Amino acid sequence: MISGTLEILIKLQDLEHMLEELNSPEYLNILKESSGLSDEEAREKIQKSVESLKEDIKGLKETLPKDIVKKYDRLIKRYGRAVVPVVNETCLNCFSHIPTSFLTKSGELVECPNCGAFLYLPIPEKEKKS
Amino acid sequence: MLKELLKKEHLIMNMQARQKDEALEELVKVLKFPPDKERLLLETLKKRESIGSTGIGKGIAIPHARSVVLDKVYLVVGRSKEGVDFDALDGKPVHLFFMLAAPPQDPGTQYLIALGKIAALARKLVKNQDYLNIDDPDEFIEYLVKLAEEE
Repeated sequence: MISGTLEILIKLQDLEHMLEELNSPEYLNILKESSGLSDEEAREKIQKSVESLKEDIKGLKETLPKDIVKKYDRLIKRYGRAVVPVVNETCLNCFSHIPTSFLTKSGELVECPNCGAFLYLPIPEKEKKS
Repeated sequence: MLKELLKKEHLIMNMQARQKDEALEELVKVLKFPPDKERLLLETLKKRESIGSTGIGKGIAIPHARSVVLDKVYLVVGRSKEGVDFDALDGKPVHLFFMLAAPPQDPGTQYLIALGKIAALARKLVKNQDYLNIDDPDEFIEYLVKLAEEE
């Protein structure tokens, strides 16, 4: 079970990645190629999505405690990401080893002891669907 | 690349959904994720749709998102002979879905490359709607791979 704050942070981070993708030149090309929209139409469609997304990000931040938002913004500014998964006991922001004692805290709000990023820890096997 | 991502266990030959949210739920369920992970991915995909439909027209949609909760790139293909009301660009029902989901850390931008390849495949698929007439899953995947590899 994921804590409320961590869940909001994950959603926020996912939206940031969406924003990054929408702003990439590759995405503009993909949209034009797949939909047949003109350059102008595709840019306009993307711009509308970007504006809507920025509003969503703002709204989500308002549901979080101020100190968490401050930390989140600081991490985004510094690393471009604030919530990162842990894979093979490694923080995927700074690639430092995450102590075993942290790995049992799946779903809790845990920060990387090295870089301070919020960690998304793997879900234990027993919680996985068959 | 699409060949590696196209898996029989991630293929729905006859989708039951008729509406957008139901379709996304049906596509995500195929991945058999734990409930929290499934819900978070679904919400991200729904959010993506809310800022602009990924129904690109002519019966095809490419719902896509990157999420912290994912560990690798996943592609789920779903076909609906009846069609799904997906708020597509041309307002027409969607018959074929390519749902692409990936982790944010994406070495070699595999996700965007895959998205580009799916977009190119979609362009070929709309010229010839044979995909609606194939009922064998292996044959269906073979058809998509062959079409994707054609110059």
